[in-house]
Amino acid sequence: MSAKMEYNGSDVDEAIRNACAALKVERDQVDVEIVATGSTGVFGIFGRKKAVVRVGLKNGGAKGKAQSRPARAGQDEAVVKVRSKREDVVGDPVSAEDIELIKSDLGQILALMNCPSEITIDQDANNKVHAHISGEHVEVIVGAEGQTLDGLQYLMRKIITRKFPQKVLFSLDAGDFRSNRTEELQERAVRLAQEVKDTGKTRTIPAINPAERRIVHMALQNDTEIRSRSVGDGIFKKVLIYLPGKGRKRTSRKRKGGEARPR
Amino acid sequence: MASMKELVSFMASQLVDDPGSVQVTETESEDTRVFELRVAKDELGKVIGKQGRTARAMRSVLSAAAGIDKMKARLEIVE
Repeated sequence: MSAKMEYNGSDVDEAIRNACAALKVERDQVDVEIVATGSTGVFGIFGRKKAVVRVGLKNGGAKGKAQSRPARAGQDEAVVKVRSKREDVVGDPVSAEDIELIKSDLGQILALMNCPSEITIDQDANNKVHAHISGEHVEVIVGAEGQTLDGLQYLMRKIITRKFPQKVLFSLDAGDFRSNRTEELQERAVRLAQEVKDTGKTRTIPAINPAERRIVHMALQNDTEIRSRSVGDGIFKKVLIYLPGKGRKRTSRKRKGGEARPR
Repeated sequence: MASMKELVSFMASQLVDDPGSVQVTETESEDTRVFELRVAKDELGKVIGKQGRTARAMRSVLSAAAGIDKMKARLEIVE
């Protein structure tokens, strides 16, 4: 692999275009690693951050042979490793005794919360450990918007990584919370997307966590009429749903005083 | 419930290397219980977490437990 160079732009696409222009190569001849996705900041004025990508030529190719592109299938697809890897993450196997340990720690916490509950744990094909809580206390354990459940899941993951040397994937659910929440977010995303198409105005979903943002983005990724992206700092970010070319920093400043352009 | 204090110390001791150093004291006003958590100095980070994420997780678990008795709970991590 040849040395990688960093390029920036107002968003990732532009950064990649800049990189290709600078290197005088086609998009599919470079490997792209996204360093920063950039953000429009507040009102597109404060805290604006540029998108940064690190780009290297594929096959360590020199610029000269850029024109003679080998027509090998599979090689020509752009290698943009953003988040696609997430789906097939495989954890290390967890023994039955370890599962019991996890179960007893979780049971202990729930008991001390005065929410003794039934816990079932199983492992899927990727060795991911799924713990499920049921019983009369589910509502308390889930909490508002799943806050308590997410807190418990986070603590359990911490405890598990401390306890076991191997890589353990863990998820926690109570009642039907996760599936209900996923459905609810998907419906909300689709509804807001429709509003965006109808009115041309950007809509937002207020601060949600990474897993939930992912659900929203996935629900909208095949809709070519609208775009979605996350803005904000920290773990909880807002999700913006907007028409392409809208909601970007350039428009927000100039639109001031002028009429909003309907599309 | 008395078990809330144990809840704090259980969660904390699962997160640190030296569970022996975990101390929890409880003070109570009419509708709020305040828990002060002390751990070894070099393990403070483990109970606070990146951007306070661990502390926040413990707080939401604690608040849920307190909510059953219609109480509020506050967790303070004391250096």
